[in-house]
Amino acid sequence: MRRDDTPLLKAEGLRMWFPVRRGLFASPLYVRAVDGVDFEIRAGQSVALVGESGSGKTTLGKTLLRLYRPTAGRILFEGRDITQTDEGELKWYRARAQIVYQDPFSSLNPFFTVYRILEEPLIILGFKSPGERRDMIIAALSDVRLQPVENFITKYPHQLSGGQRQRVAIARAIIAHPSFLVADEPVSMLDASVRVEILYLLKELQRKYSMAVLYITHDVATARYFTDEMQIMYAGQLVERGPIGEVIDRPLHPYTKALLEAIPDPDPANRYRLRDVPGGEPPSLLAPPPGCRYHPRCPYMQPICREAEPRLEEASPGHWVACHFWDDIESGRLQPLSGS
Amino acid sequence: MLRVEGLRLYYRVSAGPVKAVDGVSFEVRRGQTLALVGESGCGKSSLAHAIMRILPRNVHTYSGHIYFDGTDLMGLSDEELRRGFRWRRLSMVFQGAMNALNPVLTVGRQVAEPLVVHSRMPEREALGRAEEVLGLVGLPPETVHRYPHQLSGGMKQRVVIAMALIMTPELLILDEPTSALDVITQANIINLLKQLKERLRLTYIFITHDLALASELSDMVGVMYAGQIVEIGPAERVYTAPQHPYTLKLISSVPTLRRVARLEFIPGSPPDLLRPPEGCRFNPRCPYTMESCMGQEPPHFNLGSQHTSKCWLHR
Amino acid sequence: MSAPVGLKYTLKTIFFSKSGLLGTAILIGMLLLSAAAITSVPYDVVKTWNNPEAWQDNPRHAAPEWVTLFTGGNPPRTMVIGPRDFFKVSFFVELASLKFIRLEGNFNYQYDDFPSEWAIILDTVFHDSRPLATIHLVRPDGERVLIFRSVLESNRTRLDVTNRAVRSNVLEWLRGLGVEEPKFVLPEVALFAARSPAMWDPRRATPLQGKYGIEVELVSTGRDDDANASAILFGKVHGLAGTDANRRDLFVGLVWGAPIALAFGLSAAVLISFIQAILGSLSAWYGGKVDEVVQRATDIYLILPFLPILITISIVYRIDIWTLIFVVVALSLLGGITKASRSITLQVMQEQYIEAAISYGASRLRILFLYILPRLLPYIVANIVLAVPSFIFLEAALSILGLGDPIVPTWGKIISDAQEGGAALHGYWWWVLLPSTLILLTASSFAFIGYALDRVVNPRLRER
Repeated sequence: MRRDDTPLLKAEGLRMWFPVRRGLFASPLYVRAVDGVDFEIRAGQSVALVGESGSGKTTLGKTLLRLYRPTAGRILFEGRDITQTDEGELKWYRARAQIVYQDPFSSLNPFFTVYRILEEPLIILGFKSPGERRDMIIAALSDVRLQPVENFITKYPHQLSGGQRQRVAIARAIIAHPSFLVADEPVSMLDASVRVEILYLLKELQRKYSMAVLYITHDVATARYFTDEMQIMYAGQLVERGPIGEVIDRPLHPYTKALLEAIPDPDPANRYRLRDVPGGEPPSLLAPPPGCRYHPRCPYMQPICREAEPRLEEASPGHWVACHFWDDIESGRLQPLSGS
Repeated sequence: MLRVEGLRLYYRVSAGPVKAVDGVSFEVRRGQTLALVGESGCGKSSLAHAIMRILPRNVHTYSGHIYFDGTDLMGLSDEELRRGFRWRRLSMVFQGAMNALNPVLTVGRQVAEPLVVHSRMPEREALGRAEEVLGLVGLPPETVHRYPHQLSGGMKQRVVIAMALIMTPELLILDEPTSALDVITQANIINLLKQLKERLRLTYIFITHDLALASELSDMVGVMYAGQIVEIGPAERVYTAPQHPYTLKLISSVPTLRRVARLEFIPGSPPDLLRPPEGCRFNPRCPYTMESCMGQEPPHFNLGSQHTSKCWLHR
Repeated sequence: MSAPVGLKYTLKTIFFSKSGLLGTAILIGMLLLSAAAITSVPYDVVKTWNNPEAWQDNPRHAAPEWVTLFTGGNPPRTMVIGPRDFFKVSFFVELASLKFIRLEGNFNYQYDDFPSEWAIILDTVFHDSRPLATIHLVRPDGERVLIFRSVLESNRTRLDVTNRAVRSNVLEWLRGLGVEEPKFVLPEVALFAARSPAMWDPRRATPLQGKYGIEVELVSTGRDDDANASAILFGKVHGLAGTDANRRDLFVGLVWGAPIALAFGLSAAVLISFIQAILGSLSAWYGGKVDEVVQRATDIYLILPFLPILITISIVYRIDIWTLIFVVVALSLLGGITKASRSITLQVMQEQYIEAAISYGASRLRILFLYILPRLLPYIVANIVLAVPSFIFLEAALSILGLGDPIVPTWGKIISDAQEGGAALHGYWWWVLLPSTLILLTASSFAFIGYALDRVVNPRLRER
């Protein structure tokens, strides 16, 4: 894996707000799916973007791919500003940045054969020779281990199993050798026994093609196996970021702590203890709480948390956290309030 | 408290019978939790429906014995089952039930409904009971007057649990009660279930595809594959020393947060319940498969301390 | 998951269900009928339909021949005694400078009923003065009746039962026979009735069967004068579908009605379904203002009173059938299908594979045609099938109101003619029943197919 000094993809102050129309005369409300995010990823790096539903992680991934036009902020890919470019000018970016979706069935056109599904991106990206396309399709199918290839190219999605469909989706994403891949919950709709296979496949392909991979998931456990860095999102913002082993072993943000505490390992002793997690639900992105967005649920909440939004600080090399009291919490100076 | 023997449930489709539950036997003691674990299509949901006798129209075969506190439920008529047992003594939380709440009725009325229909309780009293049960599951009293769309996912799931508990059953079957919820909400619901188990002295059958989640509640674990239980035993033994090859592979295919180990995966995919493989159903994917596996279905081998495994390896 | 609903599934549904098969069978019948029409009777029939001369030799208001299956008996069919059936003797007398021509034709009348009318046609060539013609009818009972004696005015003379001279001659003959004083004179009845006091009254007279003769004698002055005679006895039954007031063989009209009805119905249905569907899809695809505008326009179209407007236009401008299609389509550019296809498009747009296509740079147009339209096709096809009968009915309704194409023989036009011709009043049931039945059959066939297609459009009916 080559590592460059300049990041492959960099986003600054990114905001993605979706207007909600409330009739002809009321002023619109906005769903603030991504609300002030700085992000960067290097060539060949794998980053996990972790959050629960409604955290904005999927929107962030899609915004970075310019499937949406950001409301504010900047996105730079290989140094070029792609924030507000029109769709017509973005073709070069589409060839370099791809996505694998969560649902292996609805992300494949049910009326196309596997061959056709894989041929589509090639046709659109301008590979004119059918022979060249055929070679690339066969190569991609071999890459994702759908062999013998002849058996699969004439099949329709509904004739394949979930795992096979997801392989086709991956093949489609990597067929033109992108440098940046967003994998949006690629295995959460697959059976447990198949998940690992697919994740290993992704890892292998990442290495083979030196792709930067953004792995979006709510399953922290899988992230540990496949990524180097983890970023935690809550209510449209990044709350913690760092090397994955370190964040798991030493979580600094109260939300990260709660998230990790909530995840069970297969251990029969679990049934004898209750998990120490806060109640409540993630806030609505229409009207997020003022100040630190986690404050209504945070066991360590202090008055300032209600007023001021915390910024990301570097707690240790590469490990960043957005909390007013992260070091007080870690050192034990600040104790959690009981009964939350 | 509940003993199931040779339960079979086949569905009829145009291509033939689908053997969703094919000869399942197990036992649950009062106050215990049995977790039934398996991947999609292994028949665990069908098993839950079979126990409650909530069957679709295209049933091909429904046979076996379900002994609840000594009474064979299979021998009862639909009316007797409904009157005496269903919801009163054993009830169920369905998969995706939080999305099946009636959007035009208030929560209170929906929770109180079984009381009004079964016990002929006057509505006011039933609503009072509903409020009590909602409090039990951690919801404030005013929830009685709310509509489902006003509640969050976690709150809706609590409502569904309240609905299942309204007639104070002894056994509660939970079919993937947390699958659509966020991790933290899931932990909260699991906490609630643990507390309710103690307070109300409930017995659970907890169905899930998530091995790690199953360990949160289970005293006994049953692993299902292709319509059958392939291994069942105390949680300690099944998790730390699994005996059936499928269980072994399943456990090692689950990524764990705190211990980093090499993950394995199981090649192939779960079998078609229309035409399950000959002999042991796992044999096409089993790394230890032998001659005998392809010819004959193995019986359950008793490995001591209520731990059984259905594999020729134990001969 | 099950296979997606595509065109193949749609077609399979049609052929594998009972009602679909029935509908298709009838439809194929109609298509064969249309093919038969186009190949055996060329399109010129449209011109001949309105040309009375082409139908001269047909009876008026004749019932279909198969009516004998129900009524029994032996109703008269048209008999033609052509020029060659007349035995001609002609000679010129030099001394008197007179030319004599005698034509004699015979026929055998065996029917149970009187002819509906008859006609005798004389084709003459005369160079000098006009000839004097004398026509006698010789009956099987020996009576020789003078029918006509007069100088011919033109080269082609057609004498039929409406001719005053003929009538007065027949009346005289009847009086000479000493029968009841006739209240009216019907030469087609009296001349062929068996001798009886009431032989002039068709209700009481019986036909006289046997050998009849027509004797035509011409006297003229030109040496090279010539003449030919022919006679037609018009029957009361004709062909497979009978005839109408203008002697037109209804079979021709009905058979030609099939392709016209199908063409009209199909072209209107196809055009409208596709136009509406594409507009609805584009409306959803572009969203925003375009969507608003198209939706409101659709609402306006939906409120428009379609039939009254159509009637008004038809009254003011006498439109032909092809202009009618144009007007109908123009009045239906937007409608229910627009809304439905908009819904379908909106739904499909949510599917991830559409977003995936955008992610690898597919242009909007490409997505619209390659991804979205195939999803719309089953719905469009189902709609076409269901819409065809309503357009057939529409055309028929307009024609019956007298507002349709005045020239082209459509089923509706035939029914309209029947209404004007007092078919109900006079009991010409075939004139009304046959075209109505064909309309109903055609519409039903589409309805049957549409019923089978219901599964396609309504997902809940599909087998798991």
